[in-house]
Amino acid sequence: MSKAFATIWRNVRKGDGPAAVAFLAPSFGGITVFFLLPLIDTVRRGFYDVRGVNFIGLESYVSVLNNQAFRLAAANTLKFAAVCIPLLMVVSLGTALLLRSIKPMGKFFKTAFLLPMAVPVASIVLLWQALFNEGGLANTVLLRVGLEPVAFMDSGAAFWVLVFTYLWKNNGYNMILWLAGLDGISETLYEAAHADGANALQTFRYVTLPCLLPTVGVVSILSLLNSFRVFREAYLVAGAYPNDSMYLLQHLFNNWFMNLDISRLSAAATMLGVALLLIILVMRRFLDEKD
Amino acid sequence: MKKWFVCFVCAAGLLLLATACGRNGEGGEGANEETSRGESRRVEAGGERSGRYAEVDITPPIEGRIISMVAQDGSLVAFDEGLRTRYDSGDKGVTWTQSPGPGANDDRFTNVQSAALLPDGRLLLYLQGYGMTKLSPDGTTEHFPVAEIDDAIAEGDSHNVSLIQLLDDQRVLLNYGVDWLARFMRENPTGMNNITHGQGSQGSGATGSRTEVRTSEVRMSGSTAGGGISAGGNNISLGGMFGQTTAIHDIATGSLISDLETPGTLGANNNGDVFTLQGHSILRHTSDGHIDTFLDGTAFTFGSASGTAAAMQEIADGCIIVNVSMYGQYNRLFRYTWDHDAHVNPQKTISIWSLEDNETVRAAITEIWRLHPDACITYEIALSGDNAVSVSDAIRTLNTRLLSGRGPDILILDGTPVESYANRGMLLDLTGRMDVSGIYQNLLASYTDNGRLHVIPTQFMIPALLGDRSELSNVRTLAALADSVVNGNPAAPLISGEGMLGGVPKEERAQLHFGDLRELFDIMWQANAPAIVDGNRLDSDMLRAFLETTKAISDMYGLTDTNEMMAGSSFLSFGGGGRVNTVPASLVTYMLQSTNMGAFAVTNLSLLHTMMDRGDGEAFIEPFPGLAPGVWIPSTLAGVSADTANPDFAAAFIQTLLSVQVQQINHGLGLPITRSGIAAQIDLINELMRERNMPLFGVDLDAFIARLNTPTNIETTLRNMVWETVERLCQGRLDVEGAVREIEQSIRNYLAERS
Amino acid sequence: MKRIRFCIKCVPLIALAFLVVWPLWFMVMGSLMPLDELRITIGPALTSAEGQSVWPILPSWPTLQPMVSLLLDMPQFFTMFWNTFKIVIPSVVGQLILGAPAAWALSRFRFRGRKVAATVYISLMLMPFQVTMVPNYLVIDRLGLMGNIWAVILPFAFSAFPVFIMMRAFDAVPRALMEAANIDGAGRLRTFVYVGLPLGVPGILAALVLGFLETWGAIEQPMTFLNDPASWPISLFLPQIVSEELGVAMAASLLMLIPAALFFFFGQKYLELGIQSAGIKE
Repeated sequence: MSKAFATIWRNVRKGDGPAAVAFLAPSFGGITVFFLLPLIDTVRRGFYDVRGVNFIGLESYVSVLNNQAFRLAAANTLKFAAVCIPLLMVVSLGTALLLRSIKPMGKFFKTAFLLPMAVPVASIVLLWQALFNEGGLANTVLLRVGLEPVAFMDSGAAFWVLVFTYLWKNNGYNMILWLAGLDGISETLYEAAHADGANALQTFRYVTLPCLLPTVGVVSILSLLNSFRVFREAYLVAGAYPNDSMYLLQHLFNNWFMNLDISRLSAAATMLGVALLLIILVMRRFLDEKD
Repeated sequence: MKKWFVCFVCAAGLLLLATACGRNGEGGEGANEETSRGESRRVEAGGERSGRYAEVDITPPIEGRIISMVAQDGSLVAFDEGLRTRYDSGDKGVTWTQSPGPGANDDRFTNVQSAALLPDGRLLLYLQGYGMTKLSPDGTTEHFPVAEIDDAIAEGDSHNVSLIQLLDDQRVLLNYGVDWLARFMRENPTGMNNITHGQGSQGSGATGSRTEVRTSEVRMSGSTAGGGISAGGNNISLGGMFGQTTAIHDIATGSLISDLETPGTLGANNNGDVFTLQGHSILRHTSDGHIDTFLDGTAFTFGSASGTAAAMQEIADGCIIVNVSMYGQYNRLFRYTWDHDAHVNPQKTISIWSLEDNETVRAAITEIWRLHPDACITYEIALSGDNAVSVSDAIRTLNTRLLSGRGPDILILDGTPVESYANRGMLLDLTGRMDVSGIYQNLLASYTDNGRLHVIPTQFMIPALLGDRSELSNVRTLAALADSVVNGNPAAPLISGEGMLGGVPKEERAQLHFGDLRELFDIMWQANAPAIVDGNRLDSDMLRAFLETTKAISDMYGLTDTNEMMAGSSFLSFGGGGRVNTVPASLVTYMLQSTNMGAFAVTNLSLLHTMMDRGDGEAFIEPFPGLAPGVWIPSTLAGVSADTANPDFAAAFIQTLLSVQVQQINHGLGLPITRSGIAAQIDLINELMRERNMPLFGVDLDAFIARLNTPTNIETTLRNMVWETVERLCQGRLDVEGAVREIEQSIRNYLAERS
Repeated sequence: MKRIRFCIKCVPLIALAFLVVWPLWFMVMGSLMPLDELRITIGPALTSAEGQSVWPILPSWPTLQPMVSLLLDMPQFFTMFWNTFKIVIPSVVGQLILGAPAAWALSRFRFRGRKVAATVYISLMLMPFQVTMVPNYLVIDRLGLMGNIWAVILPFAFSAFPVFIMMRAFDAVPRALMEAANIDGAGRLRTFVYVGLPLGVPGILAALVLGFLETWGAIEQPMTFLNDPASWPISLFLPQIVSEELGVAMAASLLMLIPAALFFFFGQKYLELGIQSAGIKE
C-alpha cells in the first residue's frame, strides 16, 4: 500500500511542471507586465539620465550614497523597522496570550483589535490631526494631568507617533497570526511540562516559544510589509518634509519624484530592492524550513 | 454567516456587471456626470476630432448696443440703441433687412437693454421709470407687472433689467436686479454708515454683477465692467451692486412661474434648459438638474479677454446666437454652428498644462486660434473642481507623464519646482526658436543659462512700497522698515464696530497695515526668499532677520487676531478691462489715508496709477526693502516639453503669449514682460485719463524695472514650509530661535535632496 | 481568586481595546456634531484657531446636518462612491480568479523554479508603489488603458499580496486529501476545485477582505492613472479641512469607513481563519 502511495507521489512530483505552468501563467503574466517589467525598467533607469536616453553608469549610485538626505532617510527607515517590528511582535504576542487566557470576551476583543485595519487612510489622517496637532486632544490630556504639552509632529516625538500608528493598525492582524500559532501547539506538551513541575514562565520559555518559531517567519514578513505601508499615513499627516525623526526613504523617493530626479530615485530604489531581497531570502529559511 | 457573506459578494458582483453592461449604452450620461462638477477639467478649444463649432460674425450694421431677439418663426430681429432701426434676418444673420423701429421718432427707449418679440407682434421691454411694458407697433403701451421691479420704482431704488427673452407663447424669461445696498441700508440704518453709496462709482450699468448679502457679510463677484470701488476723502464708495434675479414669468399676466437660481443667466430654450455664463463657458442647466458645458468659449470671442457674452439664444438646427459686449468696442452678434468637416492640422496640435487656471494663457489660446483656425489646442488645468487634488498630486501626475514621454507640449510652471524642469533636460532650449528681444533683457537674463533658454516668464510682479517720498527714504532696508513700523503709531482697525473705517489724521497714522498675517507673509517672503535660500544654501542670519521683522510687524498690528469681516483681506474692484482685480488690504488702508505706506506686489498698472494720488499729495513707489535687492516675481512661466511633437508650433504659442495682443490686456496675473505690452497698457490708461481730464500715468516704469535683477523663489512647497512656521511664530507658539531651528531642519532635507 | 486573576488580565486588554476603538468613537460622534461645537472641540487642532481641543463623550446637540449637506449638496460624493465599487469589485474578483490557481500551484505543486517564483511574488509584494510608478505608467499607456478604470483594476487584480495569503492557506491543505483525490482519478484541476478551494475558503476570503480594504483606500493609483476626476473613487474625496467644512470632512470620513467596516464585519470570521491559516504550519 505504501509502495503504491510512493509511486503516485512520484508521478505527482514528476508531472507537476506543465500543470504548474497552466495554473501560474495568468497570474504570472500579469505580474510580469504590471510589476516585473516596470521593476526591471526602474533598475535600468538607475544607470541612465533623467530622460532615460544617455547611459551615465554608476553616477547616480555614487550621488545617492553621498547624499545627506538619503543617509538620514535610510537610517530612519532602518531604525523604524528595527524598533517597530520587534515591538509589534512582542505586543501582539502579549495580546494573543492574554486573549487566550480569557475565553469569554474573546470575540469582542478580537473585533476591537482588528477594526483599525478597516479604517481608510483619509479617515486616519483626520483623526491623527485632531489627536496630535499642537492644540490636539493628546496635548489636552497631557495638560489635564499637569504635564507639559508636546509638539508631537514637530519634534522627536513624531517618530513615536509613527510607531504608535503602526502598532495601532497592525496589532490585531498579528495577534490573529499568533493565536493560530498558539492553537497549533499540542496540549500534551503543556501537560508534560506541567507534570515536570515547570512554572508558567518556564512553560512559556521551553514549550511555547520553540513551538512558535515557525510562526515568527510569517509574522515578521507581514510586519515588514505593513511597516512600508505606514508611510501613507505619515505623508498625509505630516507632509513631504516632516520632522527629521520620521523622514523615511519613501519621503525621499516621493520628493525626488516631485523634482524629476528619477535616476537617483531608481538607484536608491534598486538598492532598497536588493536589501529587501536579501532579507526575504533569510526569512524564507523560516518560511520554508520544511521543504 | 457564510451564506450571508457569499450572497453579499454575489450581489455586489451582479451590480457591477449591470453597471459594466450599462456603461456602453449611456455614454451621454457619463459625459453629464463629468461636467456636473461645474467646471470641466479639460478645455478643448476646437478640440473635437470630428468637427467643432465655428464662429461667424453676423453683426448687423449697428454701431453700439444691439438688442437682439428671435421671433416665434425662428427669424432674427435686432434693434440698435433706442430702438431707432429694426433689422430682420430670415437666413440666420447672413443678410439683414432694415426698417424704422419704434424709437425712430420716440426717445423713450434709449435705456432699453433687452427686449422680446411677443407672439402677438408686441415688444416686451423695460421703460425707465415705468417698469416692464408691452409696446404695440403703433406706440401704445401696456404695463406688465413684475412685483420686485415695481417695488424698486416705488422706493426710488436703482434697478435694471438686463435680459428679456421669449421662451414659448406663454412664458418669458427675465433677468433683473435691484440695488441691494439701498435696500440693505434702508433695513439696517446704522449698519454701514460709513459707506457712501453710489458716489464715485464708474457708471450705473453693472449688468451681470452678482452680489449676495448674508447678514453683514458681503460677498461680491462681478463679471462685467461698471460697478466700482473707489475712495475719496474719508469714504470708501461702492456702487452698482445689484442683486440679480432670474425668473420665468407668464406672458399674459406677468405672474411669476418659477424663480431660477442660476447666476449669470444668458438665456433659455423652450425645452426649459437655462444657459448661464460661467468663466469662459456657457453652461446648460437642464430642468432635471444636470449641468453641462454647452459651449466652451476659450476659442471664441465671447470667452476671450476682449468680450463677454451678454445674451444667447438657441435657434433651429443647434444653431446658437450669442450677443457679445466687447470691451471698448461696439457690440457684436455671433452665430455658432457645428462644423462637421472642420479640418485640424496635426502639426498644429498642442496641449498646454498649468496648475491653476490662467487668464493670460486663455487669451493666448484665443489669439493663436484666431491666427491658426486649423489648430487644435488642449488646455488642461490640474487643480480644478472640488476634488482633493493637491499641488503635489498634480505635480506627481505631471512628472509621471513627462518621464514617460507622454507629457503636455507646453508647461506653465507657476507654483512648480521650476528649476527641476529646466535643469534636467525635460524642457526644450528655446534659443533661436523665437524672438525674445521684446522682453526686458535684465529680467530675461536670470532665465538664460549658458546661452540656453528653457523657461520664459511672460508676466511679472514687483514687490513694492508706496508712499510719501520722505517716508520711503527712511525705510531703505528691512531693519529700517521694522524700526519705523515699531516706533510708529498702532494701526487703526480695518473695520470698526460701525462699519468700514475712514481716514485718520496725519499724525496718528500707522506706517503700514495688512489685512491678515498671510498678506504680510506673502510680500515678505517674495521680497526676501532669494536672500534666505540661495541655490542650495540656507542663510540662517537672513532667515533670522526675516522672521524677526515679520514677527515685529505682525505683533505691532495684531495680524493674528482673526477679523471675520476682513477674512480674505482684500477688496474686489470691477473695471480695468472688465476683469475683477484684487486690491490688497494694505493698499486699501493707504488709499483711505489711515497709513503712511502701502506694501503690495505691483500687478496692475491702472490700479498703480489710481494709487499714486489719494488726494493729499503725490505718492512715490520703491521696491520693497527686502534682504535681497532688485527682487521681482516671475509669473506665467512657460516652457516647452523636450518630447513635444510640434516644437515649432509650441514655440509659436509662447510667442503669442508675448505678443502685444495678449500682453496689452491686464489679465490680473502680473505686468506685461515686454516693453511693447507695458507701453500699450500705459497708452490705454492715458487715453482714458485724457478723456476724463485726469492726470496721466506718471511712474517711470522703465527706470523702476531696470533695477530688478533677482527673480524670487515661487515654489509652493518651500513657501508653505516657511509659512507654517511663521504662522506659529506670530501666534506666539514658538520663539524666533525655535522658528529658525524648525525651518532650518525642514529646509535642510529639502536642500539636501537637491544636492 | 480566579475571578481576580481574570480581572487582572482583563485590565490591560480593556485599556488596549479602549485605545484602539476610541478614535473610531470619536469619528462617529464628530459626524453628528454641529459645526459650532466642532469648531470649539477640535477646531484648535485642525484649524489655526487658538486654544486646546476637548472631546465630549457625546455631542451636546446631535445633528445630521453635515451628513445631509454632504449627501445633498455634493452630488459628486455619490458618483465617487459608486466609482469606488466599479474599481474595487473587479479588482478583488480578479485577485481571486487569477490569484487562487497561482497560489495553489506555488503551494501544492512540485516543480523546478517554484522557490524562485514564490520569492518573486514575495519581493514584489514588498515594493513600494513609488518605485515602479513611472514604468508602470508606461505599461498602462502602451496597453492603451490610460484614463480607463481598468488601468487601476488590472494592477490590483494581479497584485502579489493575495497570492501570498492564499499560498499560506493552501499550505494547510493536507497532502493526504490530494492524494486521495488523485487515487480517485481526479485531475489536477478537479483536485484544485474540489479539494483546494473548499479547504482554502478561509484563506481565500481573508485575501478578499484584505484586497477589498486595500483597493478601497487606494489613493496613488487612481490619481495617477485616471486623468478624469469623473471616474475617481471616494478615497480621493477629502475636502480641504477648513473650519466651515469640518463637519463635512468628519461625515465623509465616516461614510468612507462604513462600507469597509461592513465588509470587514461580514468577513471577519474568515479573515481570522485566513490569517490563522497563513500562520499555521503543516
